[in-house]
Amino acid sequence: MGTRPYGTGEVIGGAGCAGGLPDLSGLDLAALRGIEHPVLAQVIAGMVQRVTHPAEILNAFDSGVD
Amino acid sequence: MRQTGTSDAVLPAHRFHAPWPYVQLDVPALRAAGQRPHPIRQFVLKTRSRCNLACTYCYVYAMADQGWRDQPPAMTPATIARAARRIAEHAAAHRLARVDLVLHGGEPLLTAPAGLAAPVEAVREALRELSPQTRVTAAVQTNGTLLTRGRIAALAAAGIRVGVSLDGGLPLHNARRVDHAGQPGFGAAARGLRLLARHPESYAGVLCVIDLAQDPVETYESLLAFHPPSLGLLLPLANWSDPPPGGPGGGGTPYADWLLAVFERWWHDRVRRTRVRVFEEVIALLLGLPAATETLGLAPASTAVIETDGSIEQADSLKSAYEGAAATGLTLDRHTFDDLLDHPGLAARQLGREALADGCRSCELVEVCGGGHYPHRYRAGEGFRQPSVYCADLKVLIRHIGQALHEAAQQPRQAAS
Repeated sequence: MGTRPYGTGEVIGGAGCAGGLPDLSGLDLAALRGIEHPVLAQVIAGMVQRVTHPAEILNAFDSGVD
Repeated sequence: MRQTGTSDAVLPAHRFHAPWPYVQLDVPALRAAGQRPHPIRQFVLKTRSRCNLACTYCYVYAMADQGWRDQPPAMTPATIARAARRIAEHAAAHRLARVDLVLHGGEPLLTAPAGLAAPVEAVREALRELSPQTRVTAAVQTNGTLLTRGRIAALAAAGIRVGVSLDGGLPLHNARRVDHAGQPGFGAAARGLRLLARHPESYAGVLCVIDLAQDPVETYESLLAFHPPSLGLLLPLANWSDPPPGGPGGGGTPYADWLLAVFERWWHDRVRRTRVRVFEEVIALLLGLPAATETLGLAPASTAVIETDGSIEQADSLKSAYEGAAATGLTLDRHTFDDLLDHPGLAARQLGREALADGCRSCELVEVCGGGHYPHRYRAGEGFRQPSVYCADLKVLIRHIGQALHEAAQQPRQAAS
């Protein structure tokens, strides 16, 4: 184990992490509907609820965290 | 000006350990300036204060706060009734469309099947009287070792979904989840999960605390064997004064690396095998949608905890910071949940960006990260206004998912039917 305090680690490795975020400004649920990426398509389908029923968001209890 | 309601007994410790927010946040001034509180929407009822396990990292039993020792073993019917009344009053006052109940502890299944639904039924009855338009959703968070056919049936009949804590699908992943004699809890938990998986309508999902010593893909794949509809991969409770275990060799972003190994497996699969909450919440926030978690994003905290003895507390996870960190001095007998909203600890978690460190407020990722989970920001003697101790990991994680989202969005769309 290193002795450097946790949280001061340099960012190393991984595609897309060295720079900033890519431009996602053109993306929204409508733009991503029908995407052929199977996992993203299912994620997007589930997120439609958040738009149509914002008060119904299930605040998933994160405990062991919350 | 309404008092914050924090009793003198708890305030000195808060001020000593956490000047932010207990010294530096002036809640009456906030209210006078027009900042309105957000109602509580989720109520955690600690129906049992004891647990049949003694997990080595438990934030209730094994970390700084030892307050569980002063709690009665079980919530009395009188306390349950009082809790139900206060919840219904709050729902009525704020015209809530829904309240979320979480049965917790300790281990809430240390209750006979016939008694499991009592707190939820009490809240439903109080709402029928005081706030009939308010729906109830309910869940129980359990270690799974006491899940039996009888308990599952009782919970299902009451509409209570079941979430199980397990750190992986193999015995070696759960070496830290032991009972008070040091014996593994995995066997009983696995049996409980296999029973639960036969009742998908009752199955909320699994919560898993990340262990860097375990292979991430093996951990993920082994948990899929229990068919969880959702999977929570949790960063260990830690802060700047009590840092998390690091990876081999020290430094770097080992928690991001661990999570991204899972992400790559999950993201490139033929189908979505489960909803991995941290990945889906990051995607939602990247797309500008509201978060459904208090560990990411800037949405106001909206969870209250009712202790076994009827005390009103802040989130349990704060106990990882210092003894008494979750205490408010409020009780169901003498206070309402509106009093909790003016407690500095909760008020600080409803300020969004304004509660964050300077570096966080100016970070391009702040709308997604939200400064990270509140307990992770703690530093002894200063309080909760640091970046997350996991800041470097969160940056890597969010940027990687953002890049993956960007690349996926370049793919063709299915032809309209």
